[in-house]
Amino acid sequence: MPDPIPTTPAAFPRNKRRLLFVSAVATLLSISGCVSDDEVDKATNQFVQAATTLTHDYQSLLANANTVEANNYIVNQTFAAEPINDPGIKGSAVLSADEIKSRGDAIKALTDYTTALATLAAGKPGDQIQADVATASTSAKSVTTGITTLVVTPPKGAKAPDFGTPAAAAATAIGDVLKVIENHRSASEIRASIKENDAKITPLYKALEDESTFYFERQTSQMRLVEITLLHTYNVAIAAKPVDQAQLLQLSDHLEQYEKDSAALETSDPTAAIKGFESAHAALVDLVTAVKPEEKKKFLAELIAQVKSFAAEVKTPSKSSSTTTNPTS
Amino acid sequence: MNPSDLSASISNSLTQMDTILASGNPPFTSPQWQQLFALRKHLDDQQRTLLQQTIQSDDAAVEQAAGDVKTATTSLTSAIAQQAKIDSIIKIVSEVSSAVDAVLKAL
Repeated sequence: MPDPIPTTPAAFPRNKRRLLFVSAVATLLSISGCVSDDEVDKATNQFVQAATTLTHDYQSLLANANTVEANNYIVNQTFAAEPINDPGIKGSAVLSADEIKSRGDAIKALTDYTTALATLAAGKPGDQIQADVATASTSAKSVTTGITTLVVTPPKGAKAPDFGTPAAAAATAIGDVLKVIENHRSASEIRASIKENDAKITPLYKALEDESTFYFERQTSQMRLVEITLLHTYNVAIAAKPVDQAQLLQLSDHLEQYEKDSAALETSDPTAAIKGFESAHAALVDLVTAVKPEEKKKFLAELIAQVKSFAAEVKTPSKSSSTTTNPTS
Repeated sequence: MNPSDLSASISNSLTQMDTILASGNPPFTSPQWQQLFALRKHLDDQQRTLLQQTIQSDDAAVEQAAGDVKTATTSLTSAIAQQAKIDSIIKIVSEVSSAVDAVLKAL
């Protein structure tokens, strides 16, 4: 195994540092070699774009989780003619601000890490590779800090999050790979580190998929509860004598709005996109760690197919936060 | 049964109850509808409480209680498939709710 290349600026005079930088770029470029630059570039750009959109979608889903719960509380209280107060609204939240942040940080770390791998695969200039690596490194540190905070000082009434273990393990593994790249180790060492650490990163995708499915279903369920409350109120109202036409019109408006909100919510489930992200990540790792030109060609084709599929799964986040179905609005 | 399976079981029960409640059979104005709706809301509150607590899957008591939830939700699915009478469905939903209560107590 070759010796690590020391990177402390003080340890080298200016001309030697320049030489070191050029050699590091050459090492990094040899990771990508022998596949068409344009194709890699196109696939990686599409990948980065889709991953960035997914990060936004996922954060919207989590933020919406509390909004939907609060909305449901308001609807229930309204139809039961019970008081509505701030502790009631806040008490309905299922995720604390720290929990939402730690999940957002986790998916951002995955995005930034895969962006760094994509830059590496595309054979981008060395300074861009180093910049992307630095960004990914900062993101991985944010995950570790956030998880540590949640474990040491959990939010009131809540234990440490379920995804804490896979998130912390993935952040450490990402940090380990990035350290190897930052330390300008050889191409074979970088490949080995990416391969070795990948098994510690992928469980985080699974945790995010599970949570995403769950929070999406919970939101759907909360929306249905609103629908049932509206249906009940409407059907009781039509049996009244005399019938209050104004009330019926108002209720039917809310039911129509519910149908629209419900349809919008259906398109905002990011679970399939997270699975697509995971598959594209796997294809990217295969491409970056492949050595032989024929392998690289094969994995590039796989990456292009997976990225296309991933990009197709990424949808524009729903603008309906279901609050429009609120009969009190 | 891990926490995800437990949540999925409760979600499944909620979905099945919603289908009955939204159908208007039993009628929206009937006491049975009211009873089922009250149970639905209660189960929803229980699921929220579970979410706010975050379950540790390696706890044996939680594991046992979660198994009871699964048994009760399976009975509910079977009763609905066999078009059981609404009173039997209400009884099974009460069992699901009691089993979830046991999970909450075990936390």
